[in-house]
Amino acid sequence: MSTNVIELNHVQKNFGRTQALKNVTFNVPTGEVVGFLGPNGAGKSTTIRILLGMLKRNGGEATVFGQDPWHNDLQIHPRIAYVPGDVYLWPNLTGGEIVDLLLRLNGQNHTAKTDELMKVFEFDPKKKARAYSKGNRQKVALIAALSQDAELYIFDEPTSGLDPLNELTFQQEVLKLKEAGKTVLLSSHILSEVEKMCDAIVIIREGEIIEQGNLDQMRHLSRLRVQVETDAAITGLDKQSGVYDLKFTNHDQTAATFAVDHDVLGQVMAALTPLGIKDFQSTPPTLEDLFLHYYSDKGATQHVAQ
Amino acid sequence: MWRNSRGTGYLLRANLKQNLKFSLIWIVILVMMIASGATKMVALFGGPKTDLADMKHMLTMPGMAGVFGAIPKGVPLNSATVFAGIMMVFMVILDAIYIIPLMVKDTRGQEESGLLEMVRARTVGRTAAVMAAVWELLITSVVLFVLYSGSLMAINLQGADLNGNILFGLVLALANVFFGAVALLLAQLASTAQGAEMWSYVILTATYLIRLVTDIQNQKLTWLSPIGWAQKTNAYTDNNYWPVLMLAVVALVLAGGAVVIARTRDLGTGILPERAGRARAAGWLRSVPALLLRTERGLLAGWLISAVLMGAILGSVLGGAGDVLKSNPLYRKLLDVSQINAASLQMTLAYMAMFVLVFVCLAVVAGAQLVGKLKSDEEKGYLGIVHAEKPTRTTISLSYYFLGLIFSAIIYVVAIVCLYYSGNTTVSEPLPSKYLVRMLVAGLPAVLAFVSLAAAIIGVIPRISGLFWVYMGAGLIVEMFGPILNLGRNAGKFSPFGWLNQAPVHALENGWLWTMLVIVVVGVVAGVVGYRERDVA
Repeated sequence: MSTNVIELNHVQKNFGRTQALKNVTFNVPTGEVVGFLGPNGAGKSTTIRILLGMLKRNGGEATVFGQDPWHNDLQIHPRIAYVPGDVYLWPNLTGGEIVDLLLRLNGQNHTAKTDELMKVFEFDPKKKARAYSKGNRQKVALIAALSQDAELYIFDEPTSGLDPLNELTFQQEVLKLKEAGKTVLLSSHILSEVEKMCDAIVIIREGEIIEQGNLDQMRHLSRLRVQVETDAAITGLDKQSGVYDLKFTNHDQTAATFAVDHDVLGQVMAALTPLGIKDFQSTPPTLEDLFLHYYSDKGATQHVAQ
Repeated sequence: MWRNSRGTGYLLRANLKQNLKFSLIWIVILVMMIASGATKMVALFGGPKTDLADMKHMLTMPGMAGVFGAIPKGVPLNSATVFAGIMMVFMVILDAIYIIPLMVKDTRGQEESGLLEMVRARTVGRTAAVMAAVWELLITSVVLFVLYSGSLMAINLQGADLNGNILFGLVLALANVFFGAVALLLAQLASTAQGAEMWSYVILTATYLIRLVTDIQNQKLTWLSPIGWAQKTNAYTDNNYWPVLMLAVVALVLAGGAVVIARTRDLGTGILPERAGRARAAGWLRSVPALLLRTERGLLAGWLISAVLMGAILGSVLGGAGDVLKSNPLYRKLLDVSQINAASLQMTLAYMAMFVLVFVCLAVVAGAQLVGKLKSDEEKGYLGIVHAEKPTRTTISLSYYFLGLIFSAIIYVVAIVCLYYSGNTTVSEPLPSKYLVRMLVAGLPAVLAFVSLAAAIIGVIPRISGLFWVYMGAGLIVEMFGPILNLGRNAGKFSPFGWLNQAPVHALENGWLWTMLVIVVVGVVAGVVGYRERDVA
């Protein structure tokens, strides 16, 4: 049975005169890990807060487990584990006390899993919260959320304060959740973080969902950023379709950077090889590349429509 | 030294801009207090002779001296001296209540919010924040001095002279500097802004209590309290400038201490070390109310101790109030023993009525502070995670409101019971217990009505929560000073303070009791509904 844990339909939210969410429509199917991508201020946290019943939407429909999050928070919340983007903790409680409290508030208890998580995240539970760094405060929320037995896990930029080692630990924990068939909504502004864990991604920009779907499909659409150096001067690339933003970085025109669509990568390589490739670096598409792609696409379709 | 304070000017401008509204409102209130007090004094001395006689009579009482400050014997009573006698202590306290949070906010508060970390990463010196706060303290004090003395010169009290007007304004400005310096030093010592503020208020309360007791027992010892120094200037009579110098020197030492500590201290730490805490939560920490008890336990303990102390100390003053009549030969001739006893009982009750106001105020401040934590905890983001958990907004808001209501009730009962029993050890005839009951029955609904009003404001429109304090302050001032300021008997009826009907002198009118209970229910319900219906952070 495939149902949606989260359904959002034309959700709008205004803060005074500013429209934070203009049109947010997407679903999170049961058992899937969905990445929720967008730059800072795009409306990710606002959307999540609506899903948690903390903000009242001004329009559209939203359901979590088939229920309205604003009215049925009592039924919904015990089934959710949540890590906010900015974790602030009572300064005079220790991390260990807060983890226990957060578990108990949802009717759960400190388990062996909790201890294990404290170990893998290298977390000292005896310090007062005021002494914790941002990363350590995030660990408090992460440990409480990951050791909770929930159906839906919502992470709002959970790794922004973690070091790379802890980031990896977090990714492994999310993959465990995925194997266990849990549903996860993971917000981030870093595409590479999301693509390691997610089945699908949803992209929000300025309060609107601009792209959503299977990650493979979307990457197919996106471009690689390439930096290349050759023996002979690079010619002909500017005429090749699917190559954008070509810039030569030296006078001889033997070094260049450009963006290239996945489907013409073979042709570009074929054109470059005879020139004698000395150096070739490609970086995966960043969120900005996805946006560029989205907007140039939109421009193109508008052009065709005219 | 100068390298350490680099960037002070920049921070000072930023702080002044940031605190402009706060300071302006306070300065207007402070100067209005001086101006209205002085104007009322002019009216009083120009008014009917009986009022003046009542006034003079009142000023000779030990309780009066205890609460407002003693006027030394042999001082001619005219508008100016009575004004100085009544207003000095009161204004020093108001000054302190204004400057303490401002100084803590400028230093420890900015440190806690992370602002200072960002600023200090720039070419801003280690002591710049403290130095900027010191400059702001000096600037506001100079402004206060000019406005205080200026308004006194404009009103020109009978018996006032230029020297007295300047001294009165100057010593109040210096008291401002003194308590500002106390707050600055404690902001460096304590490890949180709340701790620094709390300890500053503890010191303020201690200095007040020391001068209260000494003013009643032995006025020479009032020199032990910095608030006493302000009184000892005797503006308009002796015009003694030594205490001004004392305040300045001690403030300089305190502020210097703050700068020295700021120069060597790590950012974000206190001098008092942190102990390692527990790895696991106590078994009872499993609900929102339990969480509040755990996080606010220091605050709760502080308020309870203040309630016990204030009850006991003010109670110990009661005996003296009634005895004034007995020791007065004129009254002894005119009245027989039972009449004297009855009159001194009335006198004692009148004092208790004033203390009831003080304790209602104490309990409301404690309760409303807890209710206000719903707003501040949310603003600080502590509730972010809790909102996603099982406790609903109804549960969360009710936890804060009920804790505030219950705790304010406890504070009030404890203070009144301490007042009653400590009073009974000093009066010759123990007070009938019906007065204890009257004080409790009248005061409790007033306390709860105020706190539930705070709950309604916090729940529905947290933005205007400051208005609550304005309303409460106005209610207290009008009820307490109404008789002195010649306001009508019903002037105080716009707040629960006025509905107390001067308990325990009179019993509470039933209508008001019901009104207050209805306010409690409506306030809490409005607070919950408001909190349920608005966005939370």
